[in-house]
Amino acid sequence: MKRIVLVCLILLGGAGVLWGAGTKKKKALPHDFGSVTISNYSQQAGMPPVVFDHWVHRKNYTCRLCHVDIGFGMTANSTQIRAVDNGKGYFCGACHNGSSTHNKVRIFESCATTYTREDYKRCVKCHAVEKDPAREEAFYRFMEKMPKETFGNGINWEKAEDAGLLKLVDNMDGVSFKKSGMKIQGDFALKSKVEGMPDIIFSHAKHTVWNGCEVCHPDIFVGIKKGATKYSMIELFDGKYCGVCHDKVAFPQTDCKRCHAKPAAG
Amino acid sequence: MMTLLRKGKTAALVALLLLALFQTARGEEPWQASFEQTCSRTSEAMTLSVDELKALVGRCDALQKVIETQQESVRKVYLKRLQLCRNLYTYMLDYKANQQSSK
Repeated sequence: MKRIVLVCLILLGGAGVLWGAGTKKKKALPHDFGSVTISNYSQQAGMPPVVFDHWVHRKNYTCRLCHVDIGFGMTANSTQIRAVDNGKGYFCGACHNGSSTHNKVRIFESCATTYTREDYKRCVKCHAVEKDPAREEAFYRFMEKMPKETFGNGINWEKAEDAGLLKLVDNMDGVSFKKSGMKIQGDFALKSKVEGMPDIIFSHAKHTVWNGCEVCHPDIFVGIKKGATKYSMIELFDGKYCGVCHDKVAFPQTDCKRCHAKPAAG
Repeated sequence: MMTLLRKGKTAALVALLLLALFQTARGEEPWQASFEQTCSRTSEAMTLSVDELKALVGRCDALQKVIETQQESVRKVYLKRLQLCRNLYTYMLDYKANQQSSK
């Protein structure tokens, strides 16, 4: 009898370990960090889903340009992009239209409603059938020139921009408006809830350069009165507030010192 | 006086015609020019007065009705963009109302 109970316990324990391993969130590799799989209509059209590499785009463009002016949503599959939209010059087609250029290099054209075997090679640039070693290589070649970071995709994007290694485009002819200068709000401190953990320094300046105002307000940060919205790390790790971008595309929240940066008094 | 008024009306009409011609030349529809005028002020939303913000929200609401009649791709892009700018103006209005009530 004792032996049966022991075997049952071992089996239960083993099943628990296997279940845990299966559900544990895998840490993304540096070249995969920030990748988004978009699969609204691709499979219906007989194409694999789109694997969108954020790093390829964020090295050239601000978040605001794509998420405000071009109209991409902030969560995967929320935009409901169709090939026909791209073909008309919206969403991916705003740049991937076969005539736009970046640094004098022509940007390849996106979707077509009909395609030949030759065109298919272009389709799979985004509709990735399998892992492309050339994409990985391109990432590591780019990474070599960038300031290093321990977490995320191993690049400190903020330092890269400060050092002038990135010149981000924030305006696109025919899409963006001519805007007046922005009055940038000052940095402020947020009290840490854990004793011994430095307070958070939130920099509006750093965030508005890449995002403008409307990416964050009011969709992500609703609170009007400072301190009215109470954030917890649990909510942040659950993808709310800062967690909308940090962990997914911007540096992960496990890199505590990047936000909890206020020097201790005294 | 009547001559001046007539001249003013003619000038306004000419200006409107020129604007329409300019927009057509740019391949732009009239609502797109209005959209640009309305949503290009988001970067200065902090400095706008309550009246200005209310007027902008009103223009957003009027624009929404026009955009809803456009073809699907246009609708998807511009309703999203309009929502972002309208929400920001409303947020700023709430912020200003909150500031006034706490004084």
